[in-house]
Parts: sequence; C-alpha cells; structure tokens
Amino acid sequence: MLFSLPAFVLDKIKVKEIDYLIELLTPRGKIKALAKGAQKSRRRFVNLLDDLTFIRAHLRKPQRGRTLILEGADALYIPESPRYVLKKFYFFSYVAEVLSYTSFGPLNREQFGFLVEFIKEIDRNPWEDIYKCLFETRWSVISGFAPLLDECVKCQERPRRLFYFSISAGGILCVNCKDDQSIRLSSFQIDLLKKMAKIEFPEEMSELKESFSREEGLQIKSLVEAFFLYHIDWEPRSLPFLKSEVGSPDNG
Amino acid sequence: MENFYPPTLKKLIKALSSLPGLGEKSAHRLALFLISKVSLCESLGDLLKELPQRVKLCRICRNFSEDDLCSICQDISRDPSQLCVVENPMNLLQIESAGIYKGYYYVLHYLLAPKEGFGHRELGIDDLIDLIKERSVREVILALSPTLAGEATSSYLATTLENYPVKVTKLACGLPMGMEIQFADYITLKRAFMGREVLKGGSYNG
Repeated sequence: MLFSLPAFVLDKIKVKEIDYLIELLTPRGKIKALAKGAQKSRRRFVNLLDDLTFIRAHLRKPQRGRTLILEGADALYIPESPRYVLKKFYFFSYVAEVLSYTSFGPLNREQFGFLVEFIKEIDRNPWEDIYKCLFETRWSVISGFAPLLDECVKCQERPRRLFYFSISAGGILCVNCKDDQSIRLSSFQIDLLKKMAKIEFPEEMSELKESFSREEGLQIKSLVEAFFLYHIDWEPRSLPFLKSEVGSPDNG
Repeated sequence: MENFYPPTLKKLIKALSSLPGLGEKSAHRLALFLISKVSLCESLGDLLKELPQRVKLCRICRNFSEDDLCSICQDISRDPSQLCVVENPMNLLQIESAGIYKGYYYVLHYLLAPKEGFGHRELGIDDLIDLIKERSVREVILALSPTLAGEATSSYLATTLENYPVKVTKLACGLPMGMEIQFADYITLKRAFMGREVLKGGSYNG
C-alpha cells in the first residue's frame, strides 16, 4: 500500500552498505522508514534526507515486516542557511534531536503548521537568540508539559503581586507555598512567559525581541532552558555546541 | 544449526558479523569459506594483528601511513602552495586516482556532527593552521561533500581561515554529469546557476 505524508527528516542511520533508516516527523507522529539504496542513489533522495528538510514522503507498507519503505521524496522546503551559519546548523541539530527524542503522538494541523513556519522563519532571517527559547517554550506547550502560569501549582490560588517559579513543581507558586528552590519572577517576566506560550505564528516573535534585550528577559531564557531540560529529563548532545555559539557573532 | 558448530567457528561468525555491512548470514558464509583456505587464514590473521600497530596517521596530513610521513607528504614534486582539505582517506584516494590535483592534503576524519558529539573544537583545526603556516600555503581547497554537515564544516573552516593570508576555495557544486535537470532540487539548481561557466564572453549588441 502506497501513501504520502508531509514530513520533517529528524535523523538517518546507515543500514548495511547502501540503505538508510530514516526517522520522520509527520502529522501522524514520528515514524521510521527504510530508504533503500539511499547511501548510493544519486537521483532519488540527493540532499533530501538532511536534518529538518521538509519533504513529501512517499511511503510503502511492506508485505512482510513492519518497517515502512521510503519509496521517494519530493522537496517541500530545504533549509539552506544552516549550511552557512554555524549557530543555525547547531540549532537545527538541536531541534531535530529534541523532536526525535520527545515526539510520541500525532500533531494537529496548527502544531505541525507552526513547526513548518518556524523552520522557514529561522532559515530566512538572521539568527536571533530568542529562537531557542521560543522553540523550548512552544514545544513544551505542544508536548503537554508547559508551566502553569495562572495559578499557584500547589494551592490553586491566583498570586497577585509576588510570583515564585518552581521548575520541579511545574509552574508558579504563591508566597505561602514557595520553597527554597523557587525563583522570584516579576509580573513582566510572567507576562513574557505567557506571551511566548501563546505564539501561534513565528512572525509574532518580533514583538517579543525587545523584551528579551532587558535583564529580566535574559533571565527568562535560562529559566526556560532549565525548565525544558528538567522536564524532558535528558540533555541533547548538540546543546553544549549550540550554547557555545549562541551570543557570539554570526559566522556566515 | 549453529549450535552444533565448534566454539572457534561460532566466535569467528560473531566477530565477522560485527563488521559494517556484514549480516549474520554473510558472516556465516565467509567463515565457512575460510575453513578450507588455510594459507589465507594465516595471512589474514597476521595482517589483522599487525594492522593497529603498523598503520597510523601521517604526522602532517593525517592520512593513513606506515611511516611517520605518508607517501604524498614525502613527494617533493607536489605543489606546496595548494592544500586540499578532505573528509576521510577514501575521499583523498578518490581525488588522487582521478589524477587532477598535484598539491598536498589534510584529512579531517570528521565533519561537524553535534548529535554525535562532534563540534568545531573536535575538528583539530589548530593542526591545519600550523600546516598552512609551515608550508606557506597560498590556497586551501575545501573538498568536502555538499551535504548539510559537509557544507556547514566548509563554512566553519572558511570563517576560521578568514584572518589568514590564504585563498579559500571549495569544489564547484551543481548538476552532476549525466543528470537530467528535471531531477534536480532547487538548491542544486540555484548552485548550478550561481556557478555557471562562461562559454563565450562579450556583450549583446542586438
């Protein structure tokens, strides 16, 4: 049975001398497919199997065995700038690694559409450090472990003036429930977190850029990363490389 | 059936099947073939034993060599002003066998692969820079595959070498010989257009 799906390439592993096992993120969730002869074929896949290339994957269910066969692929969008800008190359590796490790279920149209537009936006525009923070926030929302920001995680009271954020508790705490690990946040920072979580179109990011240039915004970046890593419970291998480049001037 | 095999044969099958590209069936076939070839077994055994001791990396270019310097680095007839950076010794061999380049080489052995833990610090660029200075290289040719990792590595190297008085070039990229345009993706086509060659110069007079 043949069928086609839009998909992001997340990873490829060499299988024997000529095949690749490809990991794809599709609206139906993450799937693995065998691209026969892809290590040697010059015509069928060429450069379509690199990280976060957006393709229309033509898949076949084999008569025997469970692994799908990737019969062919059409390019829907090939990110070009990661080839020239080291930060983007590391970031795309980071995104692909996180998506590969943390995607378990199907994505709805809006969620998948956001990823498509997000990748295009980053590819077409100069690098901004906010991209990493936004990805982590949005992906935690999509994956269902976004921080609770409207009421205290423990007593469900709505804090009015003093906000404490607890990474392990998964959101804000009121002044009565705060613990030694919680971090005090301003209402500006809480608003910033809420706005990021609600972003539906990557173009909306530009409105937040200025907020991140303030000291309070910078603190949010490290808080979001710490929250994200704590809840995915794993550190991607590409993260140290990305962090070593973020903040330095562009290389391309 | 394998349970009836003697332990040494079973061990050999297991060892052979751990080689890249060989499954258990192929390993099985090879092992049974080797049983009847006593002299081949002996020479293979000797070679495999010697391999890690004798074959090492050339001190200058990091190509495989049995001596301190590989045969290419020892060849003084080559053009020292050109240095070709390749990913691995297989690519070096491919360029050498084409007989189109007469300069020296530098083998990276890795491309940037953050997901595997290889970043720019793991590339060993300091040795490359020392080599450029020592040999008074005038042109560095980046001959890395035009994959995402290959291009990212080329861009990184080009940026790193920006402050050194060398010309940095990379292999042309575009439509491969014998390929039909209808199968090319837009990045390949874009590169082909950017790198088009002039067949005849001059201006159009109408």
